Amino acid sequence: MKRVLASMLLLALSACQPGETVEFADASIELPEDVVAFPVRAGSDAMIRNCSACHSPSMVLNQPKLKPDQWAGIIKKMKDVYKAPINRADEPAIQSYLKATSAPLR
Amino acid sequence: MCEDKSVMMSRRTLLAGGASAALALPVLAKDMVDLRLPGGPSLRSLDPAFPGKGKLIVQRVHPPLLETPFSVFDQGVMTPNDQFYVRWHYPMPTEIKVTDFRLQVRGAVKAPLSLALEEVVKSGEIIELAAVNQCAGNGRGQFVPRIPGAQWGPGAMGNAEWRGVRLRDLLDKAGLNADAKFVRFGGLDEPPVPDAPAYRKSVPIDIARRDDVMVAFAMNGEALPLLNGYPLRLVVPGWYATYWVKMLSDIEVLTSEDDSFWMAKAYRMPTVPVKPGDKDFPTTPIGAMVPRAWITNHADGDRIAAGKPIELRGIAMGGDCGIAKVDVLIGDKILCATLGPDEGQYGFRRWSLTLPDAVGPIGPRCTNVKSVSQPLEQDWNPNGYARGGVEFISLVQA
Repeated sequence: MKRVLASMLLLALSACQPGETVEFADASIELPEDVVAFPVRAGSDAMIRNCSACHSPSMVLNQPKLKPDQWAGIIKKMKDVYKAPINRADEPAIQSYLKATSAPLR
Repeated sequence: MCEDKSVMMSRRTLLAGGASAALALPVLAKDMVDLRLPGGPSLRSLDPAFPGKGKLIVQRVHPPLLETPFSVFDQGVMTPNDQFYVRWHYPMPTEIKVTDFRLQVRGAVKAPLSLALEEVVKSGEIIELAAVNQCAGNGRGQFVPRIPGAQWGPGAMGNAEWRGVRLRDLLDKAGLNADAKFVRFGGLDEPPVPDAPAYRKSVPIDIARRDDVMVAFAMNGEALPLLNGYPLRLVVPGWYATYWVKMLSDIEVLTSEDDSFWMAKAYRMPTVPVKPGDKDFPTTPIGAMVPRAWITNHADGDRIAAGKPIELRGIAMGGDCGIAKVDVLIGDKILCATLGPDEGQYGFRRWSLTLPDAVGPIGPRCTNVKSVSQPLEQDWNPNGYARGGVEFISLVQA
């Protein structure tokens, strides 16, 4: 697990009084890596290629059971609003991967 | 207080209000949490850990979506910084250099400003107040039918003591032009694809000039954690967190309503009642929060000893004003809870009540000082915002 790299945050606070001093310090953190990957099955390569650059797989995997048209709407939003550079040739594989993700639990 | 004890409700109404059948808790792997979202998937990990944070429910690693475990809200009305939820739309900057940081105040102003942090802090009187910061989509995963988006349980919220300078003082320092109508805020986070809409939010000028709207530099007596917006964050008490822009670096005064994506297309509420599947209804930007209350010392499905009094406690919030009362609905009874100390109208407030028994769904209902009461049923809307119906639980007599 990656941890805080450097820098203690320092903020000297007194009671709310005139002349109060507040000091800011440089700060940095290192964010952890994903621990959850797309389950490997048909289409997982397309998911990694087109989705993982912008968000963790968990954003997809935590969604409730969605209908194919709901998933299609989400793909459209990713392209139209967020300008996701989704490869057109990968879209059928993405669609079927998402459909399988929403398959009824056994 | 609680003058409407004679009001009777049918069990059917209560059940429609959202009580789920009590289920035995599944045995969970270590460091997993079951959010019990209807229809699932419900299991979330407490890993990986994030710098400066304790155990949080990891909804998404990047950009971070971290939920506060609900047990934290039973420990007190203030939410510790290391357990305060985290929500970023876009990749967050992971480094702040104090000497490089500037807060811009620009747009329809007489003299645009570019302020170093030490100048921001000296821009006016330093104020402090407790206020709940709640994601507009808090509890989205609990709605039925389910709604796509961040699948939050109930913990995308927290209450902190915020400390900062008034936004109004910064605006006055720059000098508002006569035609100033809205103020737009931006932070240091940027979209991963350059053409995507930058995260910008705006409020009407009368909200921006409120006495209690601040540019905060501290939270619970410490610097803001980087994950919660260090070094500066906008605080709009009583309004959803979508407006509380983190790593605040840009304040832009507008002469007309903001037509950019995050105001004109996202974070909007229907202005008429809607049903699942409805389309083309009028909407307006989400704004003020609604009253809410939760039981914090029992979860749905908990086992309790039969025939013994049940001590209940929880928290409540008034929304955009203080709390008038909290009643507890159980069976066909409405009982008056005892309120804890008032630590600020925008913060959480404790309530408690001892019940003679716990047969049937139990739900606390907050009424605020504007006489707005929580509805018995959840007010479904297509984006799962502003959840506010009574949250019922059922306890199992063992």
